[in-house]
Amino acid sequence: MGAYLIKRITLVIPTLLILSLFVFLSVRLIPGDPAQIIAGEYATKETVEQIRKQLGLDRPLIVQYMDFLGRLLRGDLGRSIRTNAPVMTELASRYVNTLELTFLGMSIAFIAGTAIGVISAVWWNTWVDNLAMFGALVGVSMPVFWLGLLLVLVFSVKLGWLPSVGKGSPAHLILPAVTLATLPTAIIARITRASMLEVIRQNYVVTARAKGVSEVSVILKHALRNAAIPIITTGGLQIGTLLGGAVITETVFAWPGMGRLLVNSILARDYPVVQGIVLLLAVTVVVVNFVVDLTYALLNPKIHLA
Amino acid sequence: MRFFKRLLRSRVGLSGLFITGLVVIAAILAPVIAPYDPIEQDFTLSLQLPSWRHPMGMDEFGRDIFSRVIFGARISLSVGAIAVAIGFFIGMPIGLFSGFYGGWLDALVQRAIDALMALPGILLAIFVVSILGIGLRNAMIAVGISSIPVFARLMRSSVMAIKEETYLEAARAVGAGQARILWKHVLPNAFSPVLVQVSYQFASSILWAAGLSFLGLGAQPPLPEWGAMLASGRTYILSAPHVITFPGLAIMLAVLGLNLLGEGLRDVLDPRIFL
Repeated sequence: MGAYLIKRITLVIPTLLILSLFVFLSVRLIPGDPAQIIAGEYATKETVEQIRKQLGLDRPLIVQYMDFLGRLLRGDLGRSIRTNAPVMTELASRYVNTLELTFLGMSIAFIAGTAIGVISAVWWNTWVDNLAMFGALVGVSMPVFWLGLLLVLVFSVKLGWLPSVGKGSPAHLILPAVTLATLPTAIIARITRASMLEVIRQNYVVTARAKGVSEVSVILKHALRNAAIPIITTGGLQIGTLLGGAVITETVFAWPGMGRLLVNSILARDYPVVQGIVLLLAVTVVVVNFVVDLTYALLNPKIHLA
Repeated sequence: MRFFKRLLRSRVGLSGLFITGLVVIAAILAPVIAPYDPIEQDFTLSLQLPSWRHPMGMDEFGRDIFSRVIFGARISLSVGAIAVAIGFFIGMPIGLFSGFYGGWLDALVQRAIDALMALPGILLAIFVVSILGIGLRNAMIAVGISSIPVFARLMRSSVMAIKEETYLEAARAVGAGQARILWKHVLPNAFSPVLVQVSYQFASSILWAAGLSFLGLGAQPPLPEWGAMLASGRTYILSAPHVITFPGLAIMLAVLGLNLLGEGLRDVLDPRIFL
């Protein structure tokens, strides 16, 4: 396990370094003088110079990057141009809100997706299966922002059952979480079905049936347990899809997470905040994928941990 | 042609082809099909409900939504096509060379792709737009750039699998050069999974571009872009829900058609994968 861990970490570290380089270079890639753009068209020369100094744009590139990296390791993401508050402070509570939504969406997706996939596999090639798989395809094709608006229309506007926007009670979480969960649910349902169909034909399942084990037990104990590995790994890898979806879902439901802040910061050209959010989201994805990889290795005895 | 016949025989592929065909026809014949000018305003008809004259109703500026949805097909399809072309023509050679030559170059390229893939799909597109600036053209480029790692990764794994095949060994044994092996043997054989991906990626590109426009980072008013129509229409969700119904339906239909087409292509091109 130790050797495997080290091997995985040696892959993660260069990835994170390259990522930081991309994010660092992004501001330099902006066409024109970044300090001037950030300051705005009508800024005085002094303001532009001040921003240039503040961002350290007057020093050699490599020095700037080393400095950027050093501050990053200390958890310093710079200051917001709009509010002058440290980016880390601006992000902290929003990050938690985004994770809350993502985690709930992920849980719904795992439960619903696995259930739909198992049902589809058990009733393989019947109308139940066809309906479920068509539903999954629609789920994959549905724009998440439209789905969110439709749910608001039905459950808040027409029926008045659930609050449409904001954060407060647990009820506020339901619509955004369901919206966010739809795409990963569809993906997990398809994987579960495929994985189950493969397992159901194996000898040990046939044997279990022959021994007279009840059908429910065959499906849940013998089949699902053996089909679990691809479901967990593919499901775990959906974290990126979920975070991407969260950015949009938050905009629809005015959820106080990082998504809305990201969009507003782009519109206001508040680059330190944009960089901070991008880094935080990407590092989250890399770390979660890393953990999923380890879980996969632990669950699957076929993988040599070396 | 045999391939095309098989595609037509698959129910999934056929329905995908049909829906995608409808969207393509709407895009090409937009000026003929659309009864009104998509940006012409008539404030006396603002937010009017669907009627015989205006089958999808009017938006907040009194513009015919049906005409806008039809013209929107042009925007979404061209955005998708250009984005996929960017991803395909840059990503594919990267994956091909990286997978074929291996070594430290491959390792470096793979870490760079890992880094880009840490920002999946729309997140990377949003990040690129933050650099390039907002607008439809930049959104298109951003979505294209976001699909580069997808194509590169797929092409690479495809090439890696082919590298082990005996026919490559045979080609080498009879003295075929690197360039010939790459061009004549690796590329054509590595191609089919990538072709399937083109269809899926086209669908994703339309979704992501509409998402960018919905967030206000892509197409700007008064362009009849589906995502942008939803963004401006959502204010009227209480009084005029038809404003957000039809553009969303259009996005879903276009994306569904391409996804179905992708499924059909996969069944035909690669019967081993089983989903």
